[in-house]
Amino acid sequence: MPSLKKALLLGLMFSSLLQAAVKDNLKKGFHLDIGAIQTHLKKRLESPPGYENFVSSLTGYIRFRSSFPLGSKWVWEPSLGTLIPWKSGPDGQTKKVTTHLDLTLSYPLTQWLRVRLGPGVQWLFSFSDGGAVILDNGTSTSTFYTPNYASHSFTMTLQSGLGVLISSKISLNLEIYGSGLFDNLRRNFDLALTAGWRL
Amino acid sequence: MKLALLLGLLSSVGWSWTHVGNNIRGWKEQPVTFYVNYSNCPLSESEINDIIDQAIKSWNGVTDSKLVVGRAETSTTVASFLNKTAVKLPVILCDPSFATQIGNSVVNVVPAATFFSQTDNDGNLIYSGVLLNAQNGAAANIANLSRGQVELTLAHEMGHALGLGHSSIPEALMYFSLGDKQLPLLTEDDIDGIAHIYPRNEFTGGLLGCAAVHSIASSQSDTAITRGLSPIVLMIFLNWIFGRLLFRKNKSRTILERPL
Repeated sequence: MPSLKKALLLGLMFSSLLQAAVKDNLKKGFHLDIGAIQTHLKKRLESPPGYENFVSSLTGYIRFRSSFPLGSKWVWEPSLGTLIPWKSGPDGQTKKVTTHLDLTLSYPLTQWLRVRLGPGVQWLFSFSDGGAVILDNGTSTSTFYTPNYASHSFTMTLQSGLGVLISSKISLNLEIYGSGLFDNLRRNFDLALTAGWRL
Repeated sequence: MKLALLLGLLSSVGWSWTHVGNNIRGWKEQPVTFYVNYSNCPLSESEINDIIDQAIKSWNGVTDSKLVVGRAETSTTVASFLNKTAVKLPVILCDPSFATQIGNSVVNVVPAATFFSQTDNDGNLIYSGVLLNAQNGAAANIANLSRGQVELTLAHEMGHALGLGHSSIPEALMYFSLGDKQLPLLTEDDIDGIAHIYPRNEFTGGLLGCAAVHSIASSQSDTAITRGLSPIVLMIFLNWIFGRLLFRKNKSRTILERPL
């Protein structure tokens, strides 16, 4: 019995601490989320063995997220994030930058678990200095070219996910970014896992 | 120094796709229709169509690209295409004199080739087409290849006709060799390459429809804009409504003051 009392007391203390932590974590403010994003999940699942890491890549992800409480439960969490290149192409002549701007609302499922949903925009920016590249063509070599202009692609995304509030400062976030949702061929999902720090 | 390092880390990922020519901007009109002439083909019309459709499916599946590829039939011959008198472009033709175009020494190893990736002054492709090896007795005649190899070959050549050059990644569709590949699978390198030439812009025309009329090229773009913008506009509106209602209702008791 004493052990049960002790457990109950510890549980109560933990619960109180968690409540305080949750309150603090949801205050109006800014968060830094750092983690990883797995791109092209659907293609990865459908690809033949050995090609998974060529159709999809695991890349670093850094994001600034703000939180604006809208009443007692809803929190508006607009965020701006970018993929960090943990992985580069073999030649690296052409560069790309992928940025996400999201307008997400979150709602509590429990005291420490929040569900997020909202629209966003993915901005893909690729560029190169231009120039000729000599590559094998099977029978001899041919001259190809890297682009001498920048290209911007803007795609609407729908973001949904879960946020686990661990303390007043720290949270864990699992989110899925869907794009091309209305098009069976173009439909794409990226999965992000990040740890967030309240700044 | 630290800031420069951080910016360098954040700035870019490198890839190895290329263009077939300098300053290529792709075909101006969308969708890009490949015009097929089935004459002289060693495979049946339905087989050719199935193979082309598989290749089209690959190129049409890039989320970040606006590219839409289709197919139609044409009576354009190899001779008229090579004489640069073809009107409907790009073409896919079976060439029974393939060795004449590429040389006797390689007719047994090259199943197809893309010719004439010509551009206008703005870099838009204006003349291009794929010739399939239909040379009698040639080892690389498409009739001697597996179905998967023909699909791969055609998808690769269509990539050239759309403006992409070779990649140095062996797994990429645009790598020069088929290797062990069995499917016309686009890798991230191919995807980034085609998205660069044909970038998708769901903001074309401006947010909320401002200044939209002059830049909408087709009803397809119109649909894409409507589809793309409607959820974001709706969510911003809902965010605002929720914010107003909830904030007013709980004006004196914010989340910090309310018991959880």
